[in-house]
Amino acid sequence: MKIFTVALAALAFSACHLQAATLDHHPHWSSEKLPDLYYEVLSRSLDQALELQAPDGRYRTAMPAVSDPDESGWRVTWMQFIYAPALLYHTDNPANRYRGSRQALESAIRAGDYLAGIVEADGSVLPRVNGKPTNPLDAHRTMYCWTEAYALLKPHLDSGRAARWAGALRRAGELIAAEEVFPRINRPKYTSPFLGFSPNHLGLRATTVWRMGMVLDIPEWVEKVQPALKRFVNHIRPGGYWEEHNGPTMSYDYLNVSVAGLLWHYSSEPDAMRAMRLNTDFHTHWTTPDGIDIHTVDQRNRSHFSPRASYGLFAFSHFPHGRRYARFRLLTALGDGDEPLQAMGLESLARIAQDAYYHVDGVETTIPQQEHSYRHTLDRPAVACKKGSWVYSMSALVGPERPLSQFYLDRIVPVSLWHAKTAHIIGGGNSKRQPELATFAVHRADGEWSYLPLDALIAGSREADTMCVAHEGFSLRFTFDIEDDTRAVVRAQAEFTYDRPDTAYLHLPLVLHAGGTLEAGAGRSFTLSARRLDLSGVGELSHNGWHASLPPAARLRWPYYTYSPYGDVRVPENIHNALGVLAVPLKNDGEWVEISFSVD
Amino acid sequence: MRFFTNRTLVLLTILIAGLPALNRAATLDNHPHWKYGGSLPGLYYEVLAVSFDKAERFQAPDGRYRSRIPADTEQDVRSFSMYIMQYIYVPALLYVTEHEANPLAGNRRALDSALSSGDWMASIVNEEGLFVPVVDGVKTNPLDSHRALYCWAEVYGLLKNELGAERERSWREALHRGGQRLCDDMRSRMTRPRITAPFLGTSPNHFGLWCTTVNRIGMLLGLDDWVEDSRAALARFVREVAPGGYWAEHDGPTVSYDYLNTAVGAYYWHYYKDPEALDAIRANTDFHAHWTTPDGIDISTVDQRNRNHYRPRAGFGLFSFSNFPAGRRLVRLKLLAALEDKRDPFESMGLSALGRLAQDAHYHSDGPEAEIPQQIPSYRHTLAARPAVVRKNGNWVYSICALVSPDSPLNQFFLDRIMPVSLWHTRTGAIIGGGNSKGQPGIVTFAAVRNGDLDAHPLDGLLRGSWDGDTLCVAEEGFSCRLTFVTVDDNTTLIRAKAENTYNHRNTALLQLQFRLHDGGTVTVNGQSSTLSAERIEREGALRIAHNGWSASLPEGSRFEWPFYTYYPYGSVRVPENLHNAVGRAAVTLPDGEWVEVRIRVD
Repeated sequence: MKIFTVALAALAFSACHLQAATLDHHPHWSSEKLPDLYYEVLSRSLDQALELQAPDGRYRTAMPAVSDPDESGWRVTWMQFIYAPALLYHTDNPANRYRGSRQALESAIRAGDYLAGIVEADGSVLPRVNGKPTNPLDAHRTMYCWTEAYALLKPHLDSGRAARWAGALRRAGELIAAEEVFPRINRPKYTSPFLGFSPNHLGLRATTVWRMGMVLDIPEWVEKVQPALKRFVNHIRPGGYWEEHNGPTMSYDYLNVSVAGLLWHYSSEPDAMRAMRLNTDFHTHWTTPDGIDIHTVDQRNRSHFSPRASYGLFAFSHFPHGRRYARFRLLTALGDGDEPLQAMGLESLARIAQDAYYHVDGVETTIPQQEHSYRHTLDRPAVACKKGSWVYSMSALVGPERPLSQFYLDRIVPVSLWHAKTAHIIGGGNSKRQPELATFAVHRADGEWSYLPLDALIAGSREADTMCVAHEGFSLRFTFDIEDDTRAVVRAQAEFTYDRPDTAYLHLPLVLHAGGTLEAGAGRSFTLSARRLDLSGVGELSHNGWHASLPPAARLRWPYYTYSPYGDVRVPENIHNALGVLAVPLKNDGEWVEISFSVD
Repeated sequence: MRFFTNRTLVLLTILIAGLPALNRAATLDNHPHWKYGGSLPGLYYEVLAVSFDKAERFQAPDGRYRSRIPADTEQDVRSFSMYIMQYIYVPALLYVTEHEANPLAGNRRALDSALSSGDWMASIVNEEGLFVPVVDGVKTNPLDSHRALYCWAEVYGLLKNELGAERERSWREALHRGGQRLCDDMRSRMTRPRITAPFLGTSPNHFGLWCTTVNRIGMLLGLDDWVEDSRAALARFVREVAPGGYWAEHDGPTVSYDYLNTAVGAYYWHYYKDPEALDAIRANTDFHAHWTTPDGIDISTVDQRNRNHYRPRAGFGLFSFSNFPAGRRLVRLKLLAALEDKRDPFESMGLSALGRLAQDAHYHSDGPEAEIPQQIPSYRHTLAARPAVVRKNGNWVYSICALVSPDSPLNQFFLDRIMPVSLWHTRTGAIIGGGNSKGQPGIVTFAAVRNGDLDAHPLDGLLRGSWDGDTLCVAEEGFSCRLTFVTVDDNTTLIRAKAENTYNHRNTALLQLQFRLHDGGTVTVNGQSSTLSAERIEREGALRIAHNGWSASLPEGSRFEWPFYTYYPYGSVRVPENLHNAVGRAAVTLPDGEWVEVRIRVD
């Protein structure tokens, strides 16, 4: 049996070229393990960061454009990168070219001096570019990294600078503590509805104040915050995630686990270790073999199919499979190039510095992405399942709406389908006020859409998972059937629960790549651009190496622009995040409809 | 501090508490109208036998039961419903049952009543198995005829030897036709993903009763496939009981309809001895035993289907509780409470409930009684896995429900969960209560005023608490809110509430309480008395409200209004101007981060 499993795994590897290219093939990176890879990446990034650093000490991702001399896109959170040169200057590692480097030290000092200059007397952070104020959003993240840099470099700072830095950090910390941490640590629950901001903000701010308390020798901050951090880690759900409101988030959850990682590091609090273990198990299973988070359970963000490596990797490094998982994520985030600054950005690299600093070394073991098959469920109705080259997920979570908050998505029971040769075929995740993206939606006789389920569950096992969803008037079912390594079938069914003159629809958000080609039916071919496509009765679709056989009533629309919680426009016409929405009306008599997907 | 831990103190307190507890004392221990009020099943048979006198007198010549002698044909048509015909179970059971409390055993009048009723039932089942009730030549509403079908099937089983061949054939064929339709409905739904209203399209109590009806008819008529399929459905039904001991109709408990559900569980236990059924009805007995005030009224704060109209209820499902000593006493408490202070069960309970009381008697499990929560000075009960608590502290009983559930905007039958609280005192009955509602932000416990509009949309709710105190924590967009009950002594309770801004905005948080006011009674607000009628009463400022032996002191920034008419899921009007179900709405402004206090005192 074991031989058979290994053979299957080998087959899967050969098909799974993306995975093989990252974990086993990383031509630009000589380090075969952590933490060496961290230091190699950070050193490479500092090469570029030094060239781009502004005269006033600010880190930048590019030289200012002639048309934008005041760098309107500059963010104070980029200054988290101060952590990288400070750590490199301080740390012995064979992959670190900047150990004891004057350049690294001076870079960090210039950045720290800039930061000391933007902390006002009342502790507020007012960043400026060319003397002009810019957005201070999330400056607390930078204050944390600067605190770590201060602790690392303190012996190398002259007394005046050390005093200036310490004074500014203390002022900033006092404000964060007084306004954002202390008034909220006794709230009934560490979730956004009770806090008024996301728990990742509370966790990061609390660790910032806590760490400042240690570094600046303010024991009352440490004593007051530590119980809150213990409470924070105990808010982890049995499924291994922190809720921001109701059920998992995915992207922000890495921030939350970094809080547990820090608490464990400095306090050896057993609850923090338990939380990290659960969380490692969650993330390792909710990631496709190309290192992309599976967002169907995420209440905050849709998937834009970019690999991510920054916050929280050090929390995973406590466990053998977590170490491999951290390396896997970092390699996928680095992409195929050798320019981490471009691939990851300053903020992520700063958090890679944190990952390196708090890394726990040890052996690696196999991760789920390397297994031939697995099936993972949460404490809520959601499943991620790998079968050979296929990975599917279903989220049957029903959560309260947040009509007044742009940041929380409607839970619309999304599903995803991924293949080793094509990556995502179906996916995206939750959205807000976009019925056409809900896996099941009901078009009422009066023309309105109902798309928020009354209830949902997953009835299933390793052999087959069925997502069951109730809408007013309909009991609906959805299954994935993995027939073999190249063919998967989606089936869906609707049954009337009582007589209504309404129609239930199955919606599948197809991941179509702008600029690519879509073949529809016999001989029709389209280049995917902003030009609208509305196709009915085409029977077949092909794109990016996959083919779909559709029922006659299916309709495909492209581009379907998707919700974004950030910026000024909720549904920007961003072709990169657009989808092709496949809509199939369901008969109400329990008849199953079938859509088969095959990969060459 | 734990209340009354010493056993001597407990007994003493029971005696003291018993004195003012007139309702309770009058029911469990003082039941002057009922000779067999001290034990079951004697009380059942006494009640059923007494009810039969009127039922027989009012029975129509065609065999229909009626709740009165109609003044004319129109009234006869209008007052009839198929629910009433469940009463057929009563005379049949009385006819066949020997019990000292039953003077109608072997009584020809009882038999004739049941036979004529059954003949009428047989005549209204058409060839397709549909019930087509006709009264004085007018077709009437067949709604929920399956309930009468079940009772009639039991009657068929009880009287089969008395029917004679022709009548037996006629009844059997009609039962088969009627049962076949139910069986089809049952089969079409029995593999649905979950036995709840969203997936069934009908409430689980309907589905469960269909299953028992199909099963019982299947047994009586020898239809093995019906029995087999319904048994499988019933096995699944009992396994859907939630850990808190209730069947969810959508999400979280109902209270009123849950008695129907437990009747299904107990029926299945009776015939199949599936241990899961016994576990289910045990958990359910525990649920109902704790969510009932000492005057036998259900505590409806957790109910997603119905608001509380403060009527004691005894009908469906009591036989389920009779499998347990505490359950038997709970049954007696509820039945005595429902009988009120008179010897006229026909009037106090009605024909439908009496029909189900016959089922309770028929399936009763005899045995000793044990103490129930209503008899002990203090208890605290929470629902497993869901945030709701009921607590008795001496003369006080309060409850808090922090459940958040998905809305059912298109369904009139499911209420919005609005974090309701309740407060009850031995001498006054309910002071605060009512439960959930729909589309009525004015009685949501915590609401926000945004741009002048009242908005209530709980994002999350939880309970933090212990024996020493329970705090309801509610998140509204922009506010983190808390409410606690503090029992100061046996006559004084404080309600404290607080709202903290979760982010900067210009909205105002409100605490809203539903005061139970009795129409026709008197309310005194800041010394000014008014009779509670349809005439509006509105007061603002610091308020002292007195009514029915209690007074409430509200802080500055409060507002009181009467009558606040409440939501009703049945009939054609959703918020009928029904004074009996109106509440007095009190709204208290909550300044950011400050506790406000409402003091409730009973004289």
